[in-house]
Amino acid sequence: MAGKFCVSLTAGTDDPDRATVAFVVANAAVACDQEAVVFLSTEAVRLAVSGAADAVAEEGFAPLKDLIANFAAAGGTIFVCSPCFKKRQLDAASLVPGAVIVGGAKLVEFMAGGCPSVSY
Amino acid sequence: MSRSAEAVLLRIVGRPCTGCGGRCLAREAVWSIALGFKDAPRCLPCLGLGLGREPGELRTHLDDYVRRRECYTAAWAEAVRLDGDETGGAGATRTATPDVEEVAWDAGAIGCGELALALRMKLLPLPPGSVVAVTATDPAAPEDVPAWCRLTGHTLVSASPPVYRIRRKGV
Repeated sequence: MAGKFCVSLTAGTDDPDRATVAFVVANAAVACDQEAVVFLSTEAVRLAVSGAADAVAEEGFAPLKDLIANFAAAGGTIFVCSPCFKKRQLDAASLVPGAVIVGGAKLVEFMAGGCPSVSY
Repeated sequence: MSRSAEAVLLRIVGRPCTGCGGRCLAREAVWSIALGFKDAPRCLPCLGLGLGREPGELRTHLDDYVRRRECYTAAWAEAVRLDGDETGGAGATRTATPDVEEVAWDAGAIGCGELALALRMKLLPLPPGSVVAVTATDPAAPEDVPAWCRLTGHTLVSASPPVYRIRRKGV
């Protein structure tokens, strides 16, 4: 049975280094057959909007938009903090594939049974 | 149902074997459909290798299976027509040789999550039992590749950095 794995990210394009590494680790988790979730909160929620990550390409890493797309294509899920998203008045109709806007209960439900997590 | 098996056959016929890249006859494509490989047809030797069965014995079983089921009647008739007198793999004279089943892949310097995801994408489309010889120069690969194999259930056949031979797990 696959285990769970949560990557918590609070940085967006304001800290491309942190955002990139978070998705690299998330890709490792999903590639290791884990039920992987990236939890985007505070500034990171901007990354859930299509096109927002397009300009981020850290040296030595794949472009952020590719890392996000590969994560979703491999079966990973992106939880987007609902109040953080609303506060920034972002467009819920333009989410990247794999992203879903969730409240705290959804995150708690995913992690409550025991779930390793790494935070960026 | 009969139309769908035939439709799938017509869509995939002529494609090379997903396992060895060699020729895949229409009859072999129908057997592949029956075994669930409808988007990745394989020749009989590769089907046998993947399932751990002797090709001749597998052919007898699949022949019987396909002919007993009405849903394959139209597809089978079309396959026989397309193949004509050719028996090819259907005659079970070919054998899958280790050198065509072992795929070499140079992963270059990618590492960490990118390497893990690339390994996954490289192995999963291959038939069970296939071996991929990966060359990965990332300094973390000696730790990461064995860990990835332990987590996913694929077998690390040998590790001589930068080359790692990994056998894809079964179905």
